[in-house]
Amino acid sequence: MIYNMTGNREDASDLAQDVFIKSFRSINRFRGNASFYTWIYRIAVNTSITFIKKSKKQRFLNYETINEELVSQEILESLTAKNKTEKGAILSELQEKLNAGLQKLSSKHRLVLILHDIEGMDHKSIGAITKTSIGTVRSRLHYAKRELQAYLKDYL
Amino acid sequence: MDQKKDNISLEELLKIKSAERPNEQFWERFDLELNERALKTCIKKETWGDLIGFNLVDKLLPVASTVAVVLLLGLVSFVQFFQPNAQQSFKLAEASSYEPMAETIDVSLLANNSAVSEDYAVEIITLSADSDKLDFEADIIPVAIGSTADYTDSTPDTTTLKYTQAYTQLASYAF
Repeated sequence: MIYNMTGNREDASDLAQDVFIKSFRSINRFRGNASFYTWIYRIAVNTSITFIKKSKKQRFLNYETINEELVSQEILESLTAKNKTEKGAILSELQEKLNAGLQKLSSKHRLVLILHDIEGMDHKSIGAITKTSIGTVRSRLHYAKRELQAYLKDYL
Repeated sequence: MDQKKDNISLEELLKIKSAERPNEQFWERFDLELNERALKTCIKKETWGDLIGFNLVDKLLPVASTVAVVLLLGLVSFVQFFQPNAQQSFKLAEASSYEPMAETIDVSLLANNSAVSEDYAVEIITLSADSDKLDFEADIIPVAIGSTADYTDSTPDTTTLKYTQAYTQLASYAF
């Protein structure tokens, strides 16, 4: 989640460590009202958004490699057929385009989209993490998808 | 199959993102750095200031505050108790610092003053160092302290009279 929010694996590594240290330090503040999973996710979200706000002008993208085995072969074949390029090239191009598209979204929209479509969370869990209602989560998700779809129209 | 190829959804594209995985080396380095940072957090050395600060705040703060209050009350009482004496001594010091009202007398002015010369013309009072050697008669008036007073009826000369009048005036101030 942190990696997809920042778009940079080095930043993501540092921030993830920060999150664990913060969790370790403030574990006594965990009152059990939410699940531990939600609590630690909330710390990660806050840490990421604070970082993004602070380093708005200096950020650059730095990607992880895509594990081709984890990508649906069906989708991969569709993409190669459509763009008439080989798998490695199209994946690399798509990865770049996806990351750039995600970074174009506002941090709130990006967060909801990442949690829902990449992390696979439901609306309720996202609402608990972001401290928003399910309606707000759905709304943000709708606008985020619409914006990203417009950016990735060549691949859809 | 051909239909699916033509209709790739955004959700399917986003699933590619979840296939992004860092390699093993990244995780090894991540674990190492995280352990280091966690250890640094745990064994952060406390400075003397921290230690003393904690001890003072936890244990000595009530005692210190009580002592401070007692000292403050004592100081206020001390000031109130000694305030009149202090004022008095200040007044005395102030008074002692005043100059005499008539330190010197302008002799020439006194010489020209007819009223003075009329009243005390016969009294000649001089101040001299050897005045105490003189033997005064019992009936000599004590105003002539150390004086070579001339109590005869003879008229003094002008120069003598001028100084006589001045010292006479001085003597009158003394009485």
